[in-house]
Amino acid sequence: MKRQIPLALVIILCFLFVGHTFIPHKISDNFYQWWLSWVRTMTSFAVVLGVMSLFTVHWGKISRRMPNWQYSIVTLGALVFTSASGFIWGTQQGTPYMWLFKNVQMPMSSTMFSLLAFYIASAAYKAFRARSPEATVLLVSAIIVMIAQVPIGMAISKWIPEISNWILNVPNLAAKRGVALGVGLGGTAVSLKIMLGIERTYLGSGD
Amino acid sequence: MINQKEGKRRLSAFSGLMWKNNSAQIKTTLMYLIIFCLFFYIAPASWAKDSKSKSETAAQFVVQDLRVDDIPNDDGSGLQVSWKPLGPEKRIIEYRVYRGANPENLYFVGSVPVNPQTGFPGERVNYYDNGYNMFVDISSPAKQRKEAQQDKDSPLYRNIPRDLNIIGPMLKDYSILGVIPKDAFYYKTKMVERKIDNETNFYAGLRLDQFQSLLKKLIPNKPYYYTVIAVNESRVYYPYADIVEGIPRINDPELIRNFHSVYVEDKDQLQFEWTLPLNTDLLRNNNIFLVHDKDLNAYHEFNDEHNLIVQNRIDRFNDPDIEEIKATKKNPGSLILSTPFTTENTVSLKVEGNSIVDEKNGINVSFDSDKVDNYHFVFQLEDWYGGTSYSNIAKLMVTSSEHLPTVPNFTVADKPDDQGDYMCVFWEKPVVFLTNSSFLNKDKTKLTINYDFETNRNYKVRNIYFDIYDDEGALITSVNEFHPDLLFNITLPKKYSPDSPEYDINRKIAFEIRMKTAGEEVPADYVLKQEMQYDEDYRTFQPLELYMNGEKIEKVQDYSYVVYKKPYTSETFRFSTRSAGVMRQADDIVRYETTVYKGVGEFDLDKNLLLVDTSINAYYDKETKTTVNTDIYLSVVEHKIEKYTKEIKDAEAKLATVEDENEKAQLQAQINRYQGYLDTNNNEYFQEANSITNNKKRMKFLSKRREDELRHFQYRMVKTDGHAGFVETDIFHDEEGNDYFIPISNWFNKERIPTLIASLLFGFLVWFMIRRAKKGHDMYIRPIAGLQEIDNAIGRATEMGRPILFQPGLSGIGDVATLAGLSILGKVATKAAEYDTKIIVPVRDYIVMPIAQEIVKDAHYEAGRPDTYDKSSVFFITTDQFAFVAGVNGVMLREKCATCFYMGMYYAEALLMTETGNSIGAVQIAGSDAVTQIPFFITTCDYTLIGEELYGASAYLARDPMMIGNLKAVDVTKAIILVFLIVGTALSTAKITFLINIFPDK
Amino acid sequence: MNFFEKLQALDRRWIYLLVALAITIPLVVVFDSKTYTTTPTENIYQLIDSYAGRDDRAIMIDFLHDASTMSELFPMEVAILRHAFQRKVKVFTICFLETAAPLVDYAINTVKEEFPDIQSGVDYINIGYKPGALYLPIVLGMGDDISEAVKTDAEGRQLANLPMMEKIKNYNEMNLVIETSGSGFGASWFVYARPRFGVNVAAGITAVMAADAYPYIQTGQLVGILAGLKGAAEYEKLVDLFAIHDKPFSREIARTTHVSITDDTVPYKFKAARIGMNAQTVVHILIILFIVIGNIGYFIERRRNKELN
Repeated sequence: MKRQIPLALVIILCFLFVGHTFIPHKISDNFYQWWLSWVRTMTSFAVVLGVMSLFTVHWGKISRRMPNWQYSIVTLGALVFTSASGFIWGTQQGTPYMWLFKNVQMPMSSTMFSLLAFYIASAAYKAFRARSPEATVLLVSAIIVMIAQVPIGMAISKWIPEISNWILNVPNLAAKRGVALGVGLGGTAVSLKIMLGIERTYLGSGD
Repeated sequence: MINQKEGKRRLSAFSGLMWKNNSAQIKTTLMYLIIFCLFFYIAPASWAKDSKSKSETAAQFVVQDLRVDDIPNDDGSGLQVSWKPLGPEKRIIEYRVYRGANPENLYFVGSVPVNPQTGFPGERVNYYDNGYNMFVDISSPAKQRKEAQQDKDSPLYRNIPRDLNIIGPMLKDYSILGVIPKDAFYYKTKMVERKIDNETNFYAGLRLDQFQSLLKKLIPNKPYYYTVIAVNESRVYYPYADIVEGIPRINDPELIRNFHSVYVEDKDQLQFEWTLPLNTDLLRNNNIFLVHDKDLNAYHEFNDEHNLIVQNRIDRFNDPDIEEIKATKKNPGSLILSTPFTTENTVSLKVEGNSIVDEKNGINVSFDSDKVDNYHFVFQLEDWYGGTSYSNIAKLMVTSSEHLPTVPNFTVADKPDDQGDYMCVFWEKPVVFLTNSSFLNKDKTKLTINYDFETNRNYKVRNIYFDIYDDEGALITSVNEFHPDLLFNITLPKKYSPDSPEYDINRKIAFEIRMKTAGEEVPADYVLKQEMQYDEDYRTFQPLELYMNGEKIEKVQDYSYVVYKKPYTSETFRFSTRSAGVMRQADDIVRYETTVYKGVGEFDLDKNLLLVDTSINAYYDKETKTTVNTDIYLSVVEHKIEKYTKEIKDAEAKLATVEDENEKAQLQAQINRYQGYLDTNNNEYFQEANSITNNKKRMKFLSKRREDELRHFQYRMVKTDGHAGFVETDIFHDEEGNDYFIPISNWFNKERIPTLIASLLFGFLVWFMIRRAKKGHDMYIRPIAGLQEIDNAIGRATEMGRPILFQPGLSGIGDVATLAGLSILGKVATKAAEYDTKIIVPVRDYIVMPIAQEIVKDAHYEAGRPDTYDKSSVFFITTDQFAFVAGVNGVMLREKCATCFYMGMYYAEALLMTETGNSIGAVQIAGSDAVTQIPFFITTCDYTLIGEELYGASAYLARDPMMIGNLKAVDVTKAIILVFLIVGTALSTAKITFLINIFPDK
Repeated sequence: MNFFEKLQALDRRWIYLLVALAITIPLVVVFDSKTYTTTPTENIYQLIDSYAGRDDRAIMIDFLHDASTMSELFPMEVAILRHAFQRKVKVFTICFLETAAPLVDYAINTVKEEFPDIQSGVDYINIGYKPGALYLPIVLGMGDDISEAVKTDAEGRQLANLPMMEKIKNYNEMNLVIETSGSGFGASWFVYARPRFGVNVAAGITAVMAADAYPYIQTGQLVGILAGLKGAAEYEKLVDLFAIHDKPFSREIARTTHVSITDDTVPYKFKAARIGMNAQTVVHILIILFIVIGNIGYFIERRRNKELN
């Protein structure tokens, strides 16, 4: 029963929503809107799961004095303080919560994002190898597109930006669309597997 | 060792901290931690304190020069609050406005946000408190609370609370409108009886939470009190400014701009057009006056005096001692038209013989069509309080119907494939027009021409034919656009090139445009003509006027099509949509009724209810042309019937005794009114309704007809040039003669038939392939290197005694990539459990987490090692993208993972993870359908599953006939799509378009 | 270990250091570099310039991005505003993202510092933030009457009463909309407003989005685009070359004349994009060098392994 009921729910709702795709009627739409409001409400409760997991994992580390347990104190401290500041002072402009968001969260996120530039450089140096003909094509086109992005490309030859545009608009776009087609169909197939009860990963089984 | 060191150093927030199990170092570390936490607490706290020390100077932060003014030309419900902003050095983040009906209780009503860095960008900050706006709703606080950081005796409160004790007495201070969800009003109200002087009044009672919201409007001539406080970026609320009184006044209507008048000679018709005023709430009549040439001076004198009187009225509001200016002059114009105010802004008037006659309004003005030069017109708006305003004087322009646009032939029909809240209005034939051009070569002889087209439901444009002529009328080239993609290329003769010696800027290219349509056929002689000329600003050829089948259109955008509609319940048409001259259809939204609006003036504190009246309009009586009302409670109807019967009896008895004629007439009118009510309730419809004793069932019965009628509309259309040069259509009738239309809620979306067919075909293929697979047919699956290597990668981790990291992507459980990733996780975790290797699964989505936990747990059970399962090996980090990456990288570096799997959806962070994996020398296998991230995976990982390989992985690993059958069905479908792609491309290249036309546009 | 082996085993941190230097040094030590203007940028410049000094023409900038893509888009906005203020082109600014509202103020104030005579309501109107739900109603409503579609400006004044609105009613006058966007590219404007009302639409977008937007130039739906920092740099150059000297635009001059960025007459904020392009050029070259050196090392190593086998 523990598995049958969720499975039955999923299958029934799947068919209802497929139906909604083809039925624009008011009744169908009302049902869909009603359902969406439930989804919005329910998913926000799931955040408790995340917070609980965070607490168990880090509390375990602290209490068992696992290696680097000190970091866990920082994590939990930051979690408690940030959420508490939101609850106490609100989340408007000018509150401690917004202050943390602007002066801690945003710069740290930007820092992580900026690391990309460095990682691209190191990946270019360490991993970008002409191991096979395909890799060579990738490598050459990467160089052309990169040169074309800066004025020096135009300075070398007016053809470089043209070639770069061609690479982006023809082979690149073709490959992208090919992958997108496969992804779309694959997605449909997985959805169908769920509808037919073949795919049950979401129920928490490895099968 | 190098990696280990490097990893720690990079992650460590405090450089130079190296962990050893040394107590002294732990102490130092703890100290750092405390400092870190203190920083979090102290920084915001200290700056809050810092701002308190400034409180002595708080006086400088009080808003200066606060003023409350009446908003001109409105219905007496608007006040404008304005004040001088504080400078940017004061770091103000918002101004909060408070209002009250008395100066002792002011509630927060709204705020003006400011950028603290730049300060407010203008001279004065304005806040408009006008029209119906928020009074109380579900988001209002439950209890009345004083505003933060104000003195004890401050009159400032936060938002008006959801507390009947507070808002009940406030109902008389405002005009309050309750927005009630339809079902709540129909079925969920409580009847409340009140006896006042032997008279029983009935109300429908609703709890505050049953209202969607309560809206407020200021009451004219009643004083309101306002103040404003400034809040700085640390959220310090500064003291309030001195409270200022403001009184909203009913003003004369605003002046009308752009009044135009036209006389259409051959039709003997006068036409007028004007711009609608912004505020239309109190307007009663549209009046038009004819002013003779000779009276012009007198009119100007009259108008000047009128303006003085209007200004005097405003001045006297502010200072009653000012002497009133009395009107001494009369409008010398003669009234020729008086109609009730509507949102229509055009009107036409037939001249009959030599006069303009309107018997209903007692109008008879002579009009001599030979002396039209002598005539001027002026437009007057009149409101319900007798206030008037006049437009500019419009000189009569003379034209004839051949210079007017042609009358659009229009149709109204239900918009197909929707839930029934749109009607589609469409007219005339498709139109194609040129929009731009650009040179393709250096010689400037090759040109890309851009065009656009508009069509409607009747015509599906299939081919567009362009015949292009030079300035001497010789054909340059012909173009057949068999699949309109909005551009084509042409080669021009040399003389057109701006670089050529023969170049002449006045030289034009002429285009003749014809088309072939599916659906209704366009007549063969329907030709559009347009020219292009070189434009110095754009440095290319730019389109000139468009001529449509002989109809000369100066500039197609100058015309607009205006659709008006009228429900059963209204006498006049109202504005629906306006479309530019090139448009060929418009959608008219016909909403379902979801809310009922009711004035709220009474409340019942004991029952905790707000009271509204019980009436509702039931249906439209076509004979009497009136809307018939009833009450939502049957007992109220019965009570009224009983009461009116008695009243009639009493009145009739009295009628026999009185002799005064006036009194007699009054009594008779009273009897008629009551009798009318009784008669209506005796008709078949109401008898049936009133025979239903259950109120809910009765309302259900009534609501059907009521809502149906509310959504029925008549349509008519006006095509205008904006200067009174317009033509009007008649009210639209369909072939059966119906003139009222209602949209239909459809049960099937016909546009999606191809999707349905494809889905059914795909479903069939899945079924077929699964059956084949189950029967034991051998089905080949291409080997996928990344999947074959999974065992080796896990083996490697086991050999090295290091853990495996598995990351199921960044998206949620609704994403197919996550599902695919999780199914691979099952396999990996089982193998890892068999080898007794630790597996770490950090997740970003908290709904994915418990599922991943279950999967890993099951895997351990399956491998027969439930004891080794550690729940905390599957854990949530954070939903923030980059913080999550930092977390995963930290885990990788600390745990020195030997193998990393990335299976799912990734965004910009992919490279950050794989490069970290690289730096610790891990074997990495990735799988993603994120097209933008696949290149990074390919470069930095050992194996990558591209796109659908990820989805196929579970079938590949499981070798289950169901899964394999499914995979095969995808392959076959893809083959079918490929065939369509190739055949479609080939056919289109050969200009055969039936195949592309089968598929819907979107 | 020979040289190439050493190079192959080079610690990543050296690479990071080089990248950091390659980015920061060009930003601090400004060197002169050439900027090549392209047609999509020139088209926008030319169109805006044709409105110079006219009170019956205006442009509108729609800020559709937040601070995260500011490094690429902000220089564009500044350059366009500088062009408009210098050449007396009337400007509307609007945004449908709450987070964009401070950027609008910031951009206007940044440019206004150099143009003390420019007045709000007379030379430009900042409509400010309007809720996203009103996007379409406003886009369509402006075809009829701008002052009715957006009743008030950011200062709470009624648009209809502002001096700038005297001769400006709808898209017939406000004939160019430039959307600077971190994600889309003016789609709502060119899908709804372009065909119905004939308004010109241009887009300022981040470099990664540029490839997707080019087809819309071909179809004439966009009059031009400013593609990333490069587009901003081109626009800055055009402003420096023509607008500042009140000279008319000429494609020949634009493509053959070099504008120096090392001279001090132009404030840093008006050449930020060009200086940024310097850094980008150096980093791109550096990365290409990395790829080349890495591969040389790889081939030498592979050959040696083959020989050993």
